[in-house]
Amino acid sequence: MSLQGQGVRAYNNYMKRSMENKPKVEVPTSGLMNRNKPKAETDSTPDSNDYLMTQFQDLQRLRAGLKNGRS
Amino acid sequence: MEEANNLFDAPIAGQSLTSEIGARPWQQPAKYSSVEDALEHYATKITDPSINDSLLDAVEMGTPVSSIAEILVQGGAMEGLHTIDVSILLLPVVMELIAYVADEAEIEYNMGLESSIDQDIISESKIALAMNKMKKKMPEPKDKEPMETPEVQPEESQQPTGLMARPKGEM
Repeated sequence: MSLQGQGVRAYNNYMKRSMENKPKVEVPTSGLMNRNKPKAETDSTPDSNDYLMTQFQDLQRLRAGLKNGRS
Repeated sequence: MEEANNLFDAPIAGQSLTSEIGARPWQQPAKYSSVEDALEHYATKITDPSINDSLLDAVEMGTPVSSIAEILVQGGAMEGLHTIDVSILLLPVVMELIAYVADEAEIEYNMGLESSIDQDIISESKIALAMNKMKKKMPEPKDKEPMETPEVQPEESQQPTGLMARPKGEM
């Protein structure tokens, strides 16, 4: 039982998938007297309910926040 | 030669049958059956400052994050915490988590994603290993024993050869 190189392969795969995901776009709702705020389009991609992908992207965002402003 | 070594670097055929089925932890039902539970287990361990000191030491020494993550999840599977397929699913998130903790501690790390190995660069871990070996080989200093002074052998003076020189016995 050995995981030789599986980590690198899985990480590259996740990176690729996370880069392919389009950012959510807010669309204004229609109607003359509409007071509703712009609403983000619901994500219907297969990764939308992927718990691990969400965690991965959240961690990437956190890391980017930490690195921001650091040389 | 290397291929021949890898060929024999494997369990003996039938080795898995030398113990009863269910005797090993990974043959029991996994403690965490879902990826969510398993990830929570690793997240608490990795982000806990009282536990992750040795982990950060390994990262600082230049061990690739991918290797550390592989060892972590493989160990979890061997302990029976989760199945091996869950450990493969967890790998990228665990790697990202370790990188995050290292970033937070302001430690430079190697993700281990680069395939090419620069032969000119010697990793910190190899240097530390060599230093350890050298320390073990070096003899301990002996302070208590007095310094031995080598006995000085009187040099046999050459016999004077001049006309007016005295013979040796008269001196």
